[in-house]
Amino acid sequence: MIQTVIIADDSVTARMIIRRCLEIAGLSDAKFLDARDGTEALELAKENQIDLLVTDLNMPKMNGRSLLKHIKSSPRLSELPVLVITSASNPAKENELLNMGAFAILGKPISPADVAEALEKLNK
Amino acid sequence: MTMENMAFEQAELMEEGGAALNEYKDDATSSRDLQDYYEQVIAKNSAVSEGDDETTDSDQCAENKEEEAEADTGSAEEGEDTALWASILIMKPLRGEMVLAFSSAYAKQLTETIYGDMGGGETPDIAVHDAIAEIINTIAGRFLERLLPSDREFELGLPNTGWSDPPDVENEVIRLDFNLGGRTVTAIVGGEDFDSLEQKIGEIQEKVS
Repeated sequence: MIQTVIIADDSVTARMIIRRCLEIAGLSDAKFLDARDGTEALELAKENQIDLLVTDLNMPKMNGRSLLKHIKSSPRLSELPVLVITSASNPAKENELLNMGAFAILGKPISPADVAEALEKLNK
Repeated sequence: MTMENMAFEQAELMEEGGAALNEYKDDATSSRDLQDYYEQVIAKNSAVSEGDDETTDSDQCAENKEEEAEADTGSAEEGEDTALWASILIMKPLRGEMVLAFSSAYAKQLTETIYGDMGGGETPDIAVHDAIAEIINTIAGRFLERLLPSDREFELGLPNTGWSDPPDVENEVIRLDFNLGGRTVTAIVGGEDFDSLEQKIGEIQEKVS
């Protein structure tokens, strides 16, 4: 059961949209933690019990790709499911990110249906 | 133009164009203001979801919005100023830039559409800047996704925003003015790597004319 989610995106607007989509897709009771970049997201993941990380790719300080790499190379965090939501999505990049350990990649703009479908992959 | 020169020009534009998004983000007070606004939106959306009685307020706000839209449409048809822009660098595999320009009224309307009705309160400028930055980020991504072969990765810079007329785009290739319900949005794409695109557009225009 997903109880705590980190949303990492440098745009407050994007974080709000992502959160609403997650809530509508079934996570209305989850606790959401906001991160403006990969560095903040990594700190939050280390300091809290997290069930899902949703991250953009294009962020300052530490981008989403580096964040994913750090998460998956950490013994404590490697099992954390990571959903990537990005404006720079294409099949080549998607394959790379899936091979790095993300469980799904969504291209912006997202919809609650897109998020629900991605979360279904996690449940399987 | 080299990428270094483009980045330098971006920095200059941020200074010339008045308040820009990165200034807001670097300013602790403004960042806190936007985070506070965001929390208000979340709380309001949660209250609506839980079935609080927002109907009366929402209906009144909807009426207010219709009246406001009619008034704004009038000023838009008279030639509203383009007062707010967002730009984003296209980094790889092509080098270029995309700019979107909006009237400030339309940018606020878009922001309010995204954030929802805040009950008649003024939409903070920082929320407007953040929203149009996210809009250009999304549109630029979709543009490149369709332009490039599916096996080609692409990379975008971080968006910038500013008040004032849109900045000039080096080697401008595309300039489109969209009329959206009386509002004008201008989209500009340019860059030395888009020369071949300009030629292609010319060929298409010849075919359809």
